[in-house]
Order: sequence, then structure tokens, then C-alpha cells
Amino acid sequence: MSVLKPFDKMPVLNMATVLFVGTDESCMEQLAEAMMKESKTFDVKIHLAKSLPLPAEKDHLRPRIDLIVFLINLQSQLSFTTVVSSLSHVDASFFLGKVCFLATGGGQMKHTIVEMPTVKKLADSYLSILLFSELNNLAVFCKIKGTPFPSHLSNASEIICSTHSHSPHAQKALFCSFLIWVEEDGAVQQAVSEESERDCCHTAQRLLQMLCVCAGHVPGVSALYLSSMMRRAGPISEAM
Amino acid sequence: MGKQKLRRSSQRLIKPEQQPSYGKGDLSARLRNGKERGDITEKITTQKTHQDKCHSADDQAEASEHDLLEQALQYFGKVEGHVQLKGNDTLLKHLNTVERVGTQRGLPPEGIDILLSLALSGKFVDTVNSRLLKCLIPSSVVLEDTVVKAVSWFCVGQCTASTQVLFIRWLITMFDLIDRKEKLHALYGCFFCFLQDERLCPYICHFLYLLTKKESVKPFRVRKLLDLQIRVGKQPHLQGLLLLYKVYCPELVSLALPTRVKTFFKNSESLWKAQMMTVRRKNLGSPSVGLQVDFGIKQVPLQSKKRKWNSLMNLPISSSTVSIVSQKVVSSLYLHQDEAFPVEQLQTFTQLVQNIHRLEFPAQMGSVLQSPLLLHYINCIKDDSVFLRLNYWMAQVLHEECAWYTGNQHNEMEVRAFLDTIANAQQFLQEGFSNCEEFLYKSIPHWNGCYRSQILQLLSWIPLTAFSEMEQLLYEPLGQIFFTSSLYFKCSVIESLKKMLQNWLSWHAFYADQVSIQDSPMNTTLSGLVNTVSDLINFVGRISTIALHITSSSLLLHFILDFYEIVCDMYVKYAMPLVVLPPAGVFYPALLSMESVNLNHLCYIMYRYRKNLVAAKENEWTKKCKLRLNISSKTFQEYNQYVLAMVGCLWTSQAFQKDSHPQGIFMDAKVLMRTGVENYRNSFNIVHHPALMGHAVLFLQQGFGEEKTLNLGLIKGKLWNWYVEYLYKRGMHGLKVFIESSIRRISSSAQSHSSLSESCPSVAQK
Repeated sequence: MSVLKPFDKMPVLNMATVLFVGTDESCMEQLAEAMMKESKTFDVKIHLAKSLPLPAEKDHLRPRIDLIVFLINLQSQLSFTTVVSSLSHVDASFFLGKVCFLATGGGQMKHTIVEMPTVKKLADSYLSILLFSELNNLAVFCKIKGTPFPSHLSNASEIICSTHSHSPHAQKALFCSFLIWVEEDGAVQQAVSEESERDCCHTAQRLLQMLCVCAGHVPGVSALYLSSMMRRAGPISEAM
Repeated sequence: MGKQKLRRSSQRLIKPEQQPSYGKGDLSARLRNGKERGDITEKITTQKTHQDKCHSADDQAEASEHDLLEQALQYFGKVEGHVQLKGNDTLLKHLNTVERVGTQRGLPPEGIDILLSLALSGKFVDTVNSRLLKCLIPSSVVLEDTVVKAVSWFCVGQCTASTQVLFIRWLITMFDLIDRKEKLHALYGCFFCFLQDERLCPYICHFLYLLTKKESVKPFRVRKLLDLQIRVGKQPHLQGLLLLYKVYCPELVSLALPTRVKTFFKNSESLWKAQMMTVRRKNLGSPSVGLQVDFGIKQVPLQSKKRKWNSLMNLPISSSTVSIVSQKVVSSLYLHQDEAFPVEQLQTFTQLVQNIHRLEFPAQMGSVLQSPLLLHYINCIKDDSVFLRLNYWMAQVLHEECAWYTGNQHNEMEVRAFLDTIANAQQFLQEGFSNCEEFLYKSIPHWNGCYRSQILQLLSWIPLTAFSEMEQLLYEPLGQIFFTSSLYFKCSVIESLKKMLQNWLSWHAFYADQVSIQDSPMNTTLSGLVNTVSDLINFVGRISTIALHITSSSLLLHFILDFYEIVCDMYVKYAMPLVVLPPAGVFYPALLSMESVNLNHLCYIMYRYRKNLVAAKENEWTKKCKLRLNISSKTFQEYNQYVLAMVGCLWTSQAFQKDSHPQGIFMDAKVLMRTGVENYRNSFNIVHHPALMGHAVLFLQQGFGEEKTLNLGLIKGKLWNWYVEYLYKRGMHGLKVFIESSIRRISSSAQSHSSLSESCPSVAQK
């Protein structure tokens, strides 16, 4: 059982590494893509993992990790429990500002399984900040639409959302046909995807700003300083 | 039984064959109405002929078609008794003509009058009736009387149920083309009775939805609807109507209604939509004309299907019915003083003033937001129900349509436009809407930066209240997003908070003048308000300190100093008994900044602080001031420390010795010696300060010419005074007022210090 440590490796010049941990791979990929698209002054390496611990054999190839983002899909109990179990494989010094929780799918109150206070409590107990974001996923799409999935695409959502058993090309094809189905409902649906895409972009921007501080690229500001400032009001007011 | 009776009674009321009886004035109005309409059609035809000048063949065809139509109408007008379709060639011929003209060019109002009555009278078989109804596309408008006549036929029940359904669907589609609706409103109860009919119910609901005004909502109707709902279950069309009733009279409908259902009503206009488009395009002669434009009629929204609920994002237009045609008529009709003045006709401010006592709000409260005149009206009436309706509507729309985090479907442009409209209305009323505040509290924790400018605009209108949870609901999430955002985002957040403070202070100044604080609408104590304001200022101080830490940008500093320019004048300008100084994290970056603009700004702010503190002290001495001051001696002390540091820096060249602020730039002489910098003492005076050095160099160049090697050390004595004058001329107004107020210039630097202590004695005396 290896524990992930923040300072056991030397940093690489002008580079920052972020690690996404979560069961929802499409979300992570979407976010990673958005982060890569943003303009930035340093190199960003993005690692994705379904859960911790990371496999030990490739450890020597891995750069120093500056920020861990735990993705919690509020509509899935599995994603929450995975994150909770993964947390034990993170060194305590990571929690001095280098961990962030990202809750997705919280807007659709009807479909949330993991409750908001639970996640807030988790973030608070680990002294880490909690962000919310509406990342685009097809499951949400179908629920919004409220109509059954067309039969020839019946397993498309599963394939795209969960397993990734298909090649990227096949996924794209499926997604295109999905969009065609959506097209019948007109431009509104298209707007949905654009909107969550935009929210994704904004989230990516925020994460990049945090990463910049966590990797030590901002002179005079440490990750601990930033996170304590960001969380200042919350726990203190609760303690009082 | 009831239905039977109703039918008979309505038959007695208005016999379809006869013209309903009118008053004299009414009749003449009708005549004029007709004439004016003739003008319009004339206009259309002239337009058309102008367009088709080169197609004379078309003209001929059109002329012959016109004749054919007239023949057909004559034929239909004379039909008596039951007519068979089989083998009736004349009927078929005329029917085809009407269909062709109707679907291509639209029918004139008179034609519609004849054909509609005929279709509902049951003289023909059903197929003919439905064919007739399907081609009834008006070329301009539908007369109200036509509809009334048709409704009476409809009540008589000569036609079959399917024709009845078709008629109601036609009515829904053409609702916005009916020239006036007073009589239709009078028939409200009539339509309401048809809710009992199972087949008609969904369409009647939709029609009532379009027709309902506040006065139509009656307790017995609500009861009836609820009974019906119990009987047939929660049908979406019933719920849609109930929801509208609830909007109008929340006290009558206590039922919890689902707001998530998006489409309450079936699409009724599909049968006519395409043809209406073609007719419209043809009549206007332009293929690009869409649904929005129409025949010289002012902004009639044709999408009646969605008009009231589904397309809430398109703000309803208050002038839903009025055409230019009927305006004159109506204005003559509304001479009676006791009648309500429909807002649709409100065009000018004079009209508003003249009719202010008998204005009636539109059915769609949202339309108020777009009309400055109605906003004026809202501003001066004291009717709570208006705000209730507006708030109810807006809260619904904000939650349903604008809450991006709920994963609902939104159209970005629409949301943007809608939020902008709300912000503009708030700007106009100089007052925030309470539901906007709630919306912000709900959504800001989920905010990642979308609709930035809109959200920030709304933010600046959060009202001033002694609200203790502001910290948790607003500042904490706002701080989080602030720290993890780009520079421009940070600037706009500070800007928006500045506006918020400004709004609060103006509001406070207004009410402090007018009434004693106890009577203020928010019903809060002064100390509560003072605390709220100081919380905001402390919050901004905190985030700006950290922001300047993360990105030391002069642009950001500029925005922060803008904020403090409001803060420093709170006491004198806004009568807020509070003076809060900027934190050291803001003061020192500004003092040591690289831009003369920011330095100048800081000097001005410090000068204003001095004015405020002096005024506060004087008021305390003379005991004139009723309000208890919250300015502690600590504030005076800190101010003096700041001024000492500034003067030490800029004037007396003692930057590192004279600073007594705990977070200041005091440094031991030994340490400074070790840096190896010569003349470190004067490196921040007005000659050597990085923000002003450029000015000093220019000054020397102008004085000595370019060839001589520049020595900044030359600027002293007389030259120093000239240099200071030169700086004033370069627009350093803030520096000027600061130096003139805080430094007594008798050329000796020691003197300046003694003058400084003048601002302190008040503290010393305590």
C-alpha cells in the first residue's frame, strides 16, 4: 500500500501536475481537455486515476503531483465511497492545501444520491475546498429530456459514460448519432451541451489557477496560505 | 343539464344571424374601425403592387382570383339550410377557391366573418367544415365580432365535437390577431363552462390561459377547477391554468403545483403555422420576414402557444393586442373616467401622468420590466400585490430558466438578455429585487464564472440589510471564486462590490435624511447597518490583500483604490458614522507602486480620510451629531501611522526610519547598509520614487536640455519647489491636495512633521 506524498520528488522546471481521482472517467476527460485548451504560462501534466493507490510499478515515471482533485458525482454512491477509500492513500501533508474536491451533478436535486452536507462535511474534515460544477454527461442529458433513449442507442449512454470499452472512434460515432437524436428536439438541446461545456471551461480555469499556486509558481503564496484564506470563514464560524 | 341550459341561454343572448346590438358611439367606432382597416389593406396592396410591377401576368391572375373569391364569398354568404356535398360542383368550386386564396394570400376580415359562422353553423358536412376552418388564415386581423358570433354558434352546438375542437384550436392560434378582446373577456364564464367537456377541456384550458386576467380569477372558479382536477387527475393543462390563477391570486390557490412541467398545453397552431408564415411573407413582400414582424401592427407576438409560460424567457410584450388601427377608436372609447386604462396603450409619459389613477397592470407581469413607463408607475404605487406578482413570476423564471447549475435546458443568449433586463430594471428603480438576492445566495456557491457580467451586475444590487448570514452565503463562496480566478475576473468582482457599497451608502444617505432609522423599511437598527457595511469593507480589504499578493497588478490595484475612494468619503458624503482604513496589504502596495496614477489616487484617498476624520472629530466636540460614532482612537492612530509613512517616504526621505506601522517598511539602518544601496534614504521621495522618476527626468530635461548628464540629486531647494509645481501641472491633483493638507511647507522638513501631529491631538486628548 503506497501512500502518495507531495514532496518526495523534485519538481520539474515550469511544469505542474494535477491528478484527477474519480470513477466518472468521461467527466475527468472532459475536464482535462478543457484544462489543456486553456492558455497558460506553464506546462500542465494531467493524470487520471479511477482510485488510489496508484500502481507502484510506474512510480518512477510519475512526476511530482502538485494538486489532487477528487471528483464526486453526487448521483452515484460508488463515486463517493471510492473517493473516501482513496483518501486514506494520500499523505497528510497533501491536505495542507493541495487537495480539492469537485462535486458534479449536484444541480439536479431529484437525482442526487449523495447529499450535499455529506460532501461538505467530508471536505471540511479534510481541510480542503469544495467546488461545484455541472459537467456534461449523457446520463444527465437523458434525465433532462425525460424521454426514453432511442432503441438503437439504448446502450450508448452506458458505453460512453461508464466503461469506455470502445475505441475513441466508436465513441465519437455513437456520440454523433446521439446528437442527431438530440437534434430532433432542436437547438435547445445543443445549448445544454454548450452550457455545460462553458461551465466546464470555467471550472478548468479555476483549477488551473489553483494548480499554479500549488506548484509554487506564484512567489510568496503557498498552497497552504491560499487554502487557509479560502476556507477562512467556513470552519471558523462553525467552531464558534 | 347545465350545458343544455347554457346553450339555450347563449342562443337567446346573441342570435348568430342578427347583428348584435350596439350603442351608437360603438357603431360609429366600428365604422371608423372598418375604414381604417381598409386603409391598411390598401397599404398592403399598394406595397404589393409596387413589388410586383414587373409581373403583370401575376397581376392579372391575382385580379381574376380576387373576383373568384368575391363570387365564392357571395355564394357562401347566401347558403341556406343543409347543403349536400355530393355532386355539388358549385360548392366544390368555391371551396377550392377559398382554400387557395386563404392559404396563399389570406382572407379579408369580412370573408372570415362569413366563413367562420358558416363552418360552425352545421349547414355543411364535417369534412367541408374542417376544410373551411383549416384555410381561415386572416390577411390582416380577425374582428372581435366575428369571434363573438362564432362563439355563439359554437355554444348552440350545431356542429360536431371535432369541429368544435378545431374551432378552439383556431381561436388559440389566432388569439393575437383578434383586434380587441373586451367582449371575449365578457364571455369568459361561457368558455369556463366548457371545461366539463372532456374532449374540449385541454384546448379550453389553453384558451382560458391566454384569456385570463386578474379579475377573472374568482373563488368559485378555483373551486371548480380543483373539483375537476380531483375528478380527472392531475392533467398538465389543468395545472397550467391553476398555476396562472396562483400567479394572479396566490391567496386563493394554496395548492402546491409542480413548476417543473415545461409544456402544459398541446400544440394547437401546427395546422395553420406554415400557411400563416406564407401569407405573412406574401403580404409583406419579403421572404425573410419571420413570425415576429407583422402588418403594421405594433409588435404582436404570434407565438401564442408559448406566450404566457413556456417562453417566459422572451419577456412578454405588454402590448399584446393593440393595433395602430384601433388605437384612435379605443382612445375615444376610453373617455369614461372610471374605466381602466389598458397599459398596452401607454406610449408617453404624459399619458402615464394623466391616467395614473386608472392604470391596470398587464396580464404578464414580466412585461413591466421592459417598459420604463410602467417601471415609473411601479415606483410610485404602494400596492404590495404588484410586487408579489412580480416577485413570484421572477423567482420562478430565475430558478427555472436561469439557474445553470440545475442542469436544466437554457439558451445562453436568452439567459443573458433576461438577466440584463432585470439588472437594467433594478438600475432604473435604484432598488434590488428580493428574489434576485435569493437567487444569488442560492447560485453563487455553484458559480464557476458563467454569465460573469450579468451576475456581478445583479450582485451590486443586493439591498442593505442587517443580514448576519451574508458572510456564509455570499462572502465565503465569492472569496473562493475570487481567489481562483483570472485577473480580469478579480477586477470586475471588486468593481461590482464597489457599486454595491455605493448603492448601500446612497440608500442609507437617502433614508438617514428622510426618516429616522427606526422607520426605515428594512426595520433594522443603525448599528446593524453599520456592521453590515463594515463587514463588506473588511471583506474587500481581506480579499484585495491576498489578491495583490497573488498577482501584483497595477490594474487590480487601480480597482481596489477605486473601492477605497468610496470608503474614505463615507462619513462626509453619505453620513455613515464609520471610517475604515485600508489594510496595510493595500496601502503599502499602493504607496510603493510603479504607476503615478495609483500613487496619486492613494494621496487623494488619504486626503479625503483626513477630511472625514477631522469632520468626525469636530462633530464629536460640538456634540451636534445625533449618531453615535463608531470611530475608535485606533483608527486615528492608524491613520497617523499611514500619513507618517507616506510623508517619510515621499517628502522627508526617511522612508525606512519613520514608519511605525507594525506591517510597515521600517528597517534597521544596519540591514540597509548591508544591501549596499547608496542613498537608500531618499529612494522613495517624490524625485526618486519609481512612479515619479519619469516625471523628474522629464523635468530636468526640460530645464537643462538633453546634452547634460542628468543628476536627479540636483532637484532640491528652489528646484524642488519648481518640481512640485511641475508635478501639479502634470495632473497630480491628489498629490497636491495631500501635500497641501498634510505638510506645512516652510521649506523645512522638520516642520512638516510637527504639522502632521495636528491630526493627532484629538487622539491625545482622549
